[in-house]
Amino acid sequence: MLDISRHIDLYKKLSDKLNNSHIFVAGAGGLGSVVLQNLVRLGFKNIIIYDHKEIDPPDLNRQILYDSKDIGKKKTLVARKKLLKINPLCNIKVFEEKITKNTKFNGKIDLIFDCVDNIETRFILDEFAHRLNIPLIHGAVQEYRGQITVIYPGKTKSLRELFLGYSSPKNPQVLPPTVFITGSLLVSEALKILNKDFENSLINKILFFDIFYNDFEVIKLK
Amino acid sequence: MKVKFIGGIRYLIGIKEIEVEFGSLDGIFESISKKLGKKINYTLEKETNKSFLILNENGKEMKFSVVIHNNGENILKKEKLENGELSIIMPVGGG
Repeated sequence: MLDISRHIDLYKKLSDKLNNSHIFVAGAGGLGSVVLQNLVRLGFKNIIIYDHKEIDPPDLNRQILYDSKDIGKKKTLVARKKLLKINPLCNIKVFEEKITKNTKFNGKIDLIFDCVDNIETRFILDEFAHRLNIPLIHGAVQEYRGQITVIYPGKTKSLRELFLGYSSPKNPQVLPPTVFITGSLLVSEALKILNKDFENSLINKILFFDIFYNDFEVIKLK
Repeated sequence: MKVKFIGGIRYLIGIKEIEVEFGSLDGIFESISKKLGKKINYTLEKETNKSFLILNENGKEMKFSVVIHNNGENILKKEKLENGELSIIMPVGGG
């Protein structure tokens, strides 16, 4: 049972969202691990996870849901087991599937987290968010740098419009703190969006940061 | 026009923004190269629709995937460039 008694004032505005929102997390790797831990520790009740990969040794530097005993196991299954240890009251549905253009997403979804590692899948999530008219919280990481923005159908440009022309690196190097910062900021943006606090959110803005230079900059999009 | 460098590209180029005369995209990159004292080019690979910045420094060529926004719109979605602001963005792609 998640005990929030010491933080009750912070949760007052959130309780309805935590109980009733259905959160879709695409990718249970670096960003996904951080996002998922944050979601269950906040007390979100309904979480859907998509990931088709197994845990590899190089994942352990930043994918904080996993440890050396999990090597070779399915990320979704290990993630669910560990997340339920943190908050047994969560309803966590997992799908061991690669997200493609033909993937059918069924059931109620209120918000999507983009925690995948390539631009092609990101564009599929973008199309899905537009089809369902729900927000997409986008994050990406590489080396010391991260970027975060919120795609909100009808209020913002699509992810495709913003990043058309970009080519993802095949094996980007990533420093763990970059992932932890970005994943936590993604969840913080989701809370604002669920609370309809659009003014303070990254709607029509992109946050770029570089922790090597301590450079954090919010770019306004017109 | 104002040219902004956003993301990791600003550390490779060494500046955050620069003012150049408005013109064609090739002309703008020629002006940027002259002002910075290093050769910078933009290329769009037509078959994949992927865009790259080519930076030549000390005889070494480096290629980076970038997106370019002109007055807030991706140039791949625009008919023609407008005077104002050009943002050269080097996104990140890992998850």
